[in-house]
Amino acid sequence: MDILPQLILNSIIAGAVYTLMALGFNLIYGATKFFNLAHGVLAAVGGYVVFFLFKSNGWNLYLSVLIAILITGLVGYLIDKIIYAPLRKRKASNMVLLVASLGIFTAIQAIIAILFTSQFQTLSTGAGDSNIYQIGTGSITQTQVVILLSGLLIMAGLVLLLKKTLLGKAIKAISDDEEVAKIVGIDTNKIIGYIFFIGSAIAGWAGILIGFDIGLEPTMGMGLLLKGVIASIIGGVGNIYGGVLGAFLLGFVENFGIWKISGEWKDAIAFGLLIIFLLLRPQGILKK
Amino acid sequence: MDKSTKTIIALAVVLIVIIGGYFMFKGPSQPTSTEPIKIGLSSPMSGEAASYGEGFYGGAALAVKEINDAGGVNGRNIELVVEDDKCAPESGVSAMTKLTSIDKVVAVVGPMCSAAAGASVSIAQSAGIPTLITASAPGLTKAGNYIFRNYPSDSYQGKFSAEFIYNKLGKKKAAIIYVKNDWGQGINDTFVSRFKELGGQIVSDEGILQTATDLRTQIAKAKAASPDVLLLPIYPQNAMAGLKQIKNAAFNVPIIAGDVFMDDSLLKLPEAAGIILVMSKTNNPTDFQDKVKQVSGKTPNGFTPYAYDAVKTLAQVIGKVGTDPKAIMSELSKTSFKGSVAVPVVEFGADRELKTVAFDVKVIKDGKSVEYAQ
Repeated sequence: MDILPQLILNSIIAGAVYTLMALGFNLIYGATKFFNLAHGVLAAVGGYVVFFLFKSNGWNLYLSVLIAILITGLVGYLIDKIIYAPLRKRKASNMVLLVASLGIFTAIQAIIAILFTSQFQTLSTGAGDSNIYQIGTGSITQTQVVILLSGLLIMAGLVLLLKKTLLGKAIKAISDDEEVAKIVGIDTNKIIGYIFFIGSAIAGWAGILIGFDIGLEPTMGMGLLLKGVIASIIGGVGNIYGGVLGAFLLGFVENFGIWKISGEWKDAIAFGLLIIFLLLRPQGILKK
Repeated sequence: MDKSTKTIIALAVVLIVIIGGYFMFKGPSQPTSTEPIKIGLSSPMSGEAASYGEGFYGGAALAVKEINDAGGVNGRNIELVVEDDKCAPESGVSAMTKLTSIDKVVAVVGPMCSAAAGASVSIAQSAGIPTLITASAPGLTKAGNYIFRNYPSDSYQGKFSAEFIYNKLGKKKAAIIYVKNDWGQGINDTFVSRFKELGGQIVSDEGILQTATDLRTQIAKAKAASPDVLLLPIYPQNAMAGLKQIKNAAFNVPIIAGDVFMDDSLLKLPEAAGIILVMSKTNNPTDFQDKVKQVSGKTPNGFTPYAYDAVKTLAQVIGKVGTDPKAIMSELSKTSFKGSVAVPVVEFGADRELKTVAFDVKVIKDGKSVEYAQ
């Protein structure tokens, strides 16, 4: 039986998931220039809010998803306001911010485990609730199509936001040079707050889709974050197209990498790719 | 007083101080101790395998409560010291090190995960602390004479699965997707060698990492090899994601799994229906499970009765020979405990494995596991 169509589809699906993680991560990194590790756990927050509202309390699906995205955005916004902003004000180094974000990551992950246990949960109600489309000898589910389309739509939305709106121009100015942006009268703290809201909401959306496609566990954030970071780095950190390109490259390399060798090599291949890029092309595929 | 008298008196004073001090600090010698007897429990309480750990802990907690309510062992209560081994080698080592060297437990129950046990049994062995593991990877008890297993090893399970698939199901082409750790590798290896010996063929043999939830490419490869049966020694968190991916890939062959699938949320998964479970015959009566739930607040699973048996067996042994670890070890090798739940009797052979092991075949139906009928 021909495995190639399924392999391509699997790569695209994985790439789309990494895209969602890389987009938000890249946006926040571009403006703040530090590795916000807490970004990963926000995906879990989004997923678990839907789990709580939709699966445990039987709320309407679309309403639950909307609320979850807003809550995740708000959590990201509050993390920035309560923790990162004061640190920035004190001119804390990026290393301090990184450690703080690791602390936030671990704390939120632990809180999720306390509230919902460490048990693996699924958001979907069964295999039959998702349509499956056949493409050649491969198959793709409705959820996966949504993941792919929303990844591309969010990318397009971000590009429009950055190019066409005043907020976008302010974000770009901050990404270029925060000090200069401040001097020309941009309220950088306010704008960075918005960036955290948008970036975190995207992570929440990613977590929800992953909850439907695969499932939820409190520790899901680290794996997603790392794949998002790899995608950003090989694509070009801070570059929106680069993040998407990197995400799909990663998806293809790790799935095709285990075509002829045994499956446990997948993560080794993904991180191997990261190291090759760091050594040979540290600026990534596309420069910022 | 001449010089030598002075020296003798001085020496006497020094001796009295040393000996007196020794007894003062040693406290009253011998029995009367009423302090609790500490038994360690190494179990995953967080991380991917936490759901097993909760059930495992529940069984041990019920046993401890029953023993203490009945007056303890020789008048002393049992105290359970729980350490989180996260089902991982590093945490397994630190859990076992803490139990044996800081908490000074007299015996250990667990680890229940082979990944944690592989690294930590040698620590228990060199500390000379008798340890009753329920981890199933073959070879763990070879770490030494202090390591016992009141749980059937995977060499039985891999072998039995092979025989069941070949003889009863009549399938000759098997694919395997297994977790790449001591446990999964153990089942994989014994299965492969027994299945080939019988005349079967392994058409695909794919490993996954313990944290993996995207198994699509491994599934696609297994499907492409057109097997007529799939062996799935993976954990619930892999399976809950993987079973859906198997169904989505329209990969429709009988799936054979083991005892780890006896997990409440996994059994209730619609995709799990029809999966055949080949496992050691574990008695796990409902009234026992209810008691566990009541006492510990934890959801019981297939490991719960083994934790219960291990604590109860240790209590019987300690009741007979006291709390000296060496005495416990030598008594364990000849003990026979009949108050056990999981198996009819806990008795160890010369290899410190359960003497008699029975196997059972079940099938998942309507969110429960029921007896398999042809």
